[in-house]
Amino acid sequence: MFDDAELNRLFRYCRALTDSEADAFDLLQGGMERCLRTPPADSERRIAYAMKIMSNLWRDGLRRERVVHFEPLDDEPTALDPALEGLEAALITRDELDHAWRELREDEREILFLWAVEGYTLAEVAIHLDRPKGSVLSIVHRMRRRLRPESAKEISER
Amino acid sequence: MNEPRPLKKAIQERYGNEALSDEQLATLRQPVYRAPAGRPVRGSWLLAGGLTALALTLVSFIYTAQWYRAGSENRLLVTIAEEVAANHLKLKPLEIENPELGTVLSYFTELDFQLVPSPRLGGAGETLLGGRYCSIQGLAAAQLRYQDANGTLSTWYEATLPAQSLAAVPDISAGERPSRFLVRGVDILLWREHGLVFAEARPSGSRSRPGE
Repeated sequence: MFDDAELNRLFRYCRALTDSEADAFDLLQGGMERCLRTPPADSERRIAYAMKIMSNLWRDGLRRERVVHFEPLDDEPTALDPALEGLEAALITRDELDHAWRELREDEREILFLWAVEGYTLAEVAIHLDRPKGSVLSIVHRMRRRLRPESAKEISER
Repeated sequence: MNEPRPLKKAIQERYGNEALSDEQLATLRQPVYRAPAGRPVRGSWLLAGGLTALALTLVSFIYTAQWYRAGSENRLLVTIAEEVAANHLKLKPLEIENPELGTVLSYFTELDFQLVPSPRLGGAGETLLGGRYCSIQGLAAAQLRYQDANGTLSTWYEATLPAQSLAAVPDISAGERPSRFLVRGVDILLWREHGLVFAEARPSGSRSRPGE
């Protein structure tokens, strides 16, 4: 169903979700089994389909372990574009990213991965996550604030 | 190398080198992770889906018929055998790699039962590779992996069950013989000793003690 390059692409996505090599491989295996049991209607979109399955599997697992994140109701962004502009402009060192990555929640890592590696727009991320665009923007908005003070510097500040 | 760079580029670099190992890719190339031969990978997914649904319905019908024919105790053993087969086929990465049984058993500190170094563990001429946690009937269990001189892998399991379920598993200390199942090409033995459930899984046709 998937060639080696596609398996590695899915594996990288699972790594971003789980932040653990062993968990990522378990998730990849579980997702592959689901994909074979319920193949995608559109074979051209099988990667996106597999990623969706793996994302749901991972979240189901978190729910079973009762790891539930609550998001504050404040901090709503006032505009769409600034959220992305902030991410595009942020500068960060490898060490700072390592540190920040450990502090991020799994949905935050997923959003950053889809945006940076898979090239998703925030609207596409929202569709992938089955969440309102405003909810995704809120997460990005909070992420920017968390990344900025201790680690990332924006180009405009240079 | 640790210079500030755009966040997007830094994330791309972080994952650029991530790749499956050869062993992991080999696991994912096993037939269980591939579409059946001749099945169209592109194109007629609807037809393929329909055929799959028909096949699943047939399998489900046969399975259900067998299910009702079997007694409730046998049903439990079949379920356990299927779980063992699934664990065996997945070949998930070992969490501890060591040839010493005592060392490997001492790794499993999170189980709610005491592992027993049964002399039945490991086939003749097989070398212990290591172990990992798994689950049987929703309870944490230990999986040990052995390999013979031909490279054939066998997996062994120690698990616990609620007392009322445990009684369904043949007790070799009472002279009972292990139950044997062939599931998805995996030859499985199930038995009980020291109040624990033991299972052995190996490819069908590779068992050196077929009489068991």
